[in-house]
Amino acid sequence: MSQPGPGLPRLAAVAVSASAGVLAFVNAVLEHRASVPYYSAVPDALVGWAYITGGMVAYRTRRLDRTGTLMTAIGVIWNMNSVALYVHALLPYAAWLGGLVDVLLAQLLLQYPSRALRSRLERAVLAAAYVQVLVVNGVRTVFANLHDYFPCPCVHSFPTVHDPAVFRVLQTEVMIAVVVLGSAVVALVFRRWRRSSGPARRALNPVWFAGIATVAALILEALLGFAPLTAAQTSAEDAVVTVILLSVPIALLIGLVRIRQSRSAVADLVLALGRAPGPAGVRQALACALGDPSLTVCYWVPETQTYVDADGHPAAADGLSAGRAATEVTAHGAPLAVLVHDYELLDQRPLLDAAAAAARLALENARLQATLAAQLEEVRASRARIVQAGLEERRKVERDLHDGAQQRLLALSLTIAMIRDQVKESADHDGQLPSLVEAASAQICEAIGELRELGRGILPAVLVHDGLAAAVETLAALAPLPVTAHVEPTRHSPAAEATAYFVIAEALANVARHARASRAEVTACQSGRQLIVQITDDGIGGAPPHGGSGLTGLADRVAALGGQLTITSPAGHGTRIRAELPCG
Amino acid sequence: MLPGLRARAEGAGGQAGEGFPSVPAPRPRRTLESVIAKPKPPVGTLVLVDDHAGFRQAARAMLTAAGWQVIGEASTGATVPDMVMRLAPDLVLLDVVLPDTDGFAVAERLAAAGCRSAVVLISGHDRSDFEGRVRAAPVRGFLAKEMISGRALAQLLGGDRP
Repeated sequence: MSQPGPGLPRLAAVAVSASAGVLAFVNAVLEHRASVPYYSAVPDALVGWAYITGGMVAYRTRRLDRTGTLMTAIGVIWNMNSVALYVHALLPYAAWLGGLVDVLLAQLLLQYPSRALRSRLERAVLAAAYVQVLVVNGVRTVFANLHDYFPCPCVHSFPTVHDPAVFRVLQTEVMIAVVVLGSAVVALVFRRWRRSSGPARRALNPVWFAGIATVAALILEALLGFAPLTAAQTSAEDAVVTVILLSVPIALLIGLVRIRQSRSAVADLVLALGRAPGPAGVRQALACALGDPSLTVCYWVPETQTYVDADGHPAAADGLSAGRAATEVTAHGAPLAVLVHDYELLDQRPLLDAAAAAARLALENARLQATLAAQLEEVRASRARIVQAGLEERRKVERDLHDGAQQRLLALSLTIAMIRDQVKESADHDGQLPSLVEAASAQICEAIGELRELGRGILPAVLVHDGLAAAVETLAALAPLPVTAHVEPTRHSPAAEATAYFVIAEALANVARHARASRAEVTACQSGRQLIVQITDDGIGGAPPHGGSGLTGLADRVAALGGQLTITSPAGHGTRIRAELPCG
Repeated sequence: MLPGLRARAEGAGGQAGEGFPSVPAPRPRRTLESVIAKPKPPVGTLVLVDDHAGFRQAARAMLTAAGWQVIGEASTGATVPDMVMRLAPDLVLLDVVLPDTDGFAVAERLAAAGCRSAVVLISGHDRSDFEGRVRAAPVRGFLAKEMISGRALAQLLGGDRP
């Protein structure tokens, strides 16, 4: 885009029309023309001036130069029309080209705030409006009798063929065209307004609303053209339309003030960034400064060549959803972060750029944190996976043991028992046979017992089938000292149950080995999304704060699940082991 | 003793040998087979539920030798209630861990269906693993699999006599 600022030709045009406007106003007030009452001349001149002023201000605003040009043009043509009321040689030209005000207004609204017409329909409606004004309205003027409208001697160079019949047809056509094309413009502008969202609306709303109101007023004016109105009614109607026309430039100025306000947001952003460092703070500050609460920040991690969110989770790579846009922020020529925001924010490119520049250092800092979070997340996840896989492996080994070797041994034990019975009953046997068979039977039962203990140590079937409460009951029954167990019968995730079980088993084994306790107590209950397991004894205490090697391994396993194991063991006051396990 | 069990035990007196067509003919003595195959007088009918075919085979041989008539076998829990209601055995030997359900659930269903057969749970696991549930289940008792024998069963079933 070129450097904003008015060019010389535009300034000249403005000067001419401005003086013409003054002339019109002075004329109207001094001469009290019957056809142009002064109370309509005042707003009349105001409209021209307002559009020119608004146009000049908009032109000096980045990205609104097209709006500014169109607005200035509207003001100039409007003033030309006003001048024509007194300079009669211009009257037919004003009657011909005066409609350009409506068309330029339509173009302004359709192109506001971006320069491009977005759909073919918009282009078609605008083209039709231009044809209507430049061609059809021109022909209508040729067939018009201007004396019917302005009771004064008209001397002009415009070619005329006075024919009331043709004129009436064309007049009707023009009014219908205003209604149809005007309605189309209202619909299209309304559609644009609905599609815009978020921060853009706030700044743009006034112009869109004023524009829709103005076009609607012009349509109403055209419709009233079909009704026979008195002269007083007509001039009142003119005055109302004129006032409504004023609303567009005023609304534009309000919108510009709002955009200016949003720019001062960058200054606030810098302050906010200083106050709230960290990824969440940066996002919040940017969202606030850009007026887009939905804004998100993704950070580029060069090591993995991926984008991650503030918590280090991989950011969705499957493009942007509708109505969203991404602005890349770079540092030292390399990608740093991407701001994902409302599409309409792109209309405030300078604001975006300024905000991104202001936040760069904070973003670099936040990226570092996000990268660390990503790595931590990965380590945590892999640790949990390893524990999970270990448990799965235990479960499989226990099942294989039980379903394989143990079942064969069990079958064998029955066969041996049978042999034993038969040998006993049999009268004619070797002297040694009964004792040998008896020994085999005892050995096989021992083997089965050992295998059963082995399986229980790997992962007790009762834990898998019946849950923690039943498994702890078994542990308590097998313990060499009295153990009271209070375990809720609810089931938890296999990982949580298994970890809780091993903590309790190891703790009870430690109590039996080292604590010299007379009794122990086990409790397990769910608190929120955590399973709280506690093992207390009344022994000598003084256990090392990080547990023995067995408990250290268990603490690792508890931590891998995202839980925590604490050991409290003051000398002489027993030991308490507490594990908090996520079980959701 | 159960009414069914008593009736069969009394009525079976003169039919020993005929009632067990699956039992092979006596072979020369002092071979393992001859020792195993020698039947005792029948003590009752039973249905055996266990998902390990090898164990079922050994158990069947042993129980047959102990005088039990194995009239039905199942490897899953789903078919058990129908089979038991149809065959009305004196005894159901029910494995605790089954592929589709567990022995406790099957025992509940049998009890709910009004089954009059005695149910004994068996398992490769120790009784202490299931103590609470065994006590609560509508069953005659629990036997670790290696403890199954004619004597142990007779003890369990006899112990219920009022």
